[in-house]
Amino acid sequence: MLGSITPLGERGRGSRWWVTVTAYVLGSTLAGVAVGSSLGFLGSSVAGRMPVTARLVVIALAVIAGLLVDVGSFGLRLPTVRRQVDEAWRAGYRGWVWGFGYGVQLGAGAVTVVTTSTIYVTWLAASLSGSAVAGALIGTTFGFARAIPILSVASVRRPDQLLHVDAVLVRWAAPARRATYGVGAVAACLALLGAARW
Amino acid sequence: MSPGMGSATTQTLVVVAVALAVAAGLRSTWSP
Repeated sequence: MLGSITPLGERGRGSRWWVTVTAYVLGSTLAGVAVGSSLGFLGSSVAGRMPVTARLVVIALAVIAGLLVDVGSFGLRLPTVRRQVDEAWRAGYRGWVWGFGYGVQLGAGAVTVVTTSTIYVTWLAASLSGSAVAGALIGTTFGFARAIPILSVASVRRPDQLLHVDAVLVRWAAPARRATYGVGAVAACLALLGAARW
Repeated sequence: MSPGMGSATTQTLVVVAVALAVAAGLRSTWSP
């Protein structure tokens, strides 16, 4: 996605990069708010009948199960849709329209290819958060974090700079994957400690 | 915290979830 919204590409399409990016980040964040708050609201009836400590244990177990799937334990593979955003939109619509549309789809988390179980666990946690407000906070965080790396291509104005971004992404792919595992492990520990503490 | 996020345990849950949300969002940068 980073290579899809660059100043280089937007100039070629006659669009202003910052407009497209603003729409993209806004769309992703709003989608996160919508999904998170909806799940928080819908799950509140179930969550309200569970002690928070039990919910923390469920989340911790889900994180651990997800990590096992992510690393391919027991031959398991992460379930996902194969769908991606429609590349044709970029040629057919104004920058802010497709930027917003891409953002909405990616900020929803699971309507395009899912590469990490933490997305599913995040939405599970939003469902168990107990309220639409808490779910919205969780969803906002996801939607914003999903979109904001786009700012890293703000200086791409030549093809060689785009190739450099691609190379950096390739170089950081494995560390990013391991960092996600690490955050998951810490989150699971924190959830279990929280459940034990209170 | 906002209404609905009052107890310390609930706050722990939200903190855990927000951490997961950040990790999930940033990690998705490497989605195809």
